[in-house]
Amino acid sequence: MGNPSYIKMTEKDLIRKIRTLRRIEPRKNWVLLTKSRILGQDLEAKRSLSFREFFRFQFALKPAFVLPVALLLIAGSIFYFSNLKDLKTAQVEYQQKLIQLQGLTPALVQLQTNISQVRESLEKAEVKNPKQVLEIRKSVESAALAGKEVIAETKKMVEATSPARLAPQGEAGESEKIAKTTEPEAQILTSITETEKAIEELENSSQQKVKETVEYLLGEIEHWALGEIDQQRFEEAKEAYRNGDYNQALEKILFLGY
Amino acid sequence: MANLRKQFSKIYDQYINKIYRFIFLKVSSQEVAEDLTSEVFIRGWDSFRQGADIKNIQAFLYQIARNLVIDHYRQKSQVKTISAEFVQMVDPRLNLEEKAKIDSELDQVKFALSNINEDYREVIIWRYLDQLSISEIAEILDKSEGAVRVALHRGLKELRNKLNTD
Repeated sequence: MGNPSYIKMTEKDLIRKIRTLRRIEPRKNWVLLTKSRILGQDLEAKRSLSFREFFRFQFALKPAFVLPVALLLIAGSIFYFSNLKDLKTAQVEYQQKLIQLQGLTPALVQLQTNISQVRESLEKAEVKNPKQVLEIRKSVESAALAGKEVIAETKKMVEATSPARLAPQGEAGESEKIAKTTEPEAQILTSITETEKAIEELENSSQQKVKETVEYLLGEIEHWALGEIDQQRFEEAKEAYRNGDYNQALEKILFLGY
Repeated sequence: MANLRKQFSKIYDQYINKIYRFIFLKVSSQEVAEDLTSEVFIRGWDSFRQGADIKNIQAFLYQIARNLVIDHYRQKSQVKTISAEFVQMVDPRLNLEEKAKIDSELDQVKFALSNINEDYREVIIWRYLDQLSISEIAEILDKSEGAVRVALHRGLKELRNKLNTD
């Protein structure tokens, strides 16, 4: 059976419908983390590649050069491993990590904006509209989860950056130059703290809104004539409320009548 | 290298959503789409930093994506699964009726699109979602512009039929 609304569908209507698919987007935190992982892999790959190429070169040498080259290689290895950070590797590594960190700053700012929007909607939600409150609560949970994921990953990157910054450098005085927390790090740490605070406040506000909604509904439904099953559900909702599980209470209330 | 990274970072920002959506509409699974999209950009970055001769980065990324999807179905022989999580977090400012209407329309089109010829589906996505020109699509597919126009026309017709009958 055809849908009559499509019979006269013009090409313009059809294209408009196709464009609704633009709402399909990847998760924002996944986008950020993937970018950071892909572009962050480069340094390690480059280092191991150049090391492999170095060995390939050694084995290609003529026998007459084997002993001196072997000695050189041993001495070189000892020098390399004992002064790994002297070879400017630490500094390069640190710069790479700083670039990664700087890339995450706008992400945290965006995250804070999203949180503010969800919070704004939460504040506008009315306790008389429990489905709306439930919907926004789900948005809050998603936003909080995404936010915590980004923060955890960012913290890992900040921690990974610190040893690189504090590592001893080859030239005297260099370590001092970068021993202090640099601006990108300080910025990211501030952003992390602000975002964590925003998430916590959002979760608290959401919980408070759900609580108020449940209180309103319990008061209203108390006067209703309920069937046996609904009465049982209502009692369970009250029990959940008394136990402080407001989400559970709201869900049970929304099941009344089904 | 820092400069290359910066350039690729911009490319990533520009195409990540498009490539993800293109793959998602073919595999209908968030998890698989994320895995394959990551792989597209890993391969893209590898080629980019090694100085590969990439004339058109967009066509290059889409070609990797197409090949990965083909490999995915070939190797795994996977049955398409529909993920309920494909739509981003609901905009809380929308009221429930508006949201339901939009979701329903999106689901209808997505379902209809997933049931038309694979070649038609690709050109429709590129032309109307990603707004690629006919010549750009022709370049990706290595076909003539005329062939792309024909595919587009037939694709829209088939999609309209599907929407009429579903």
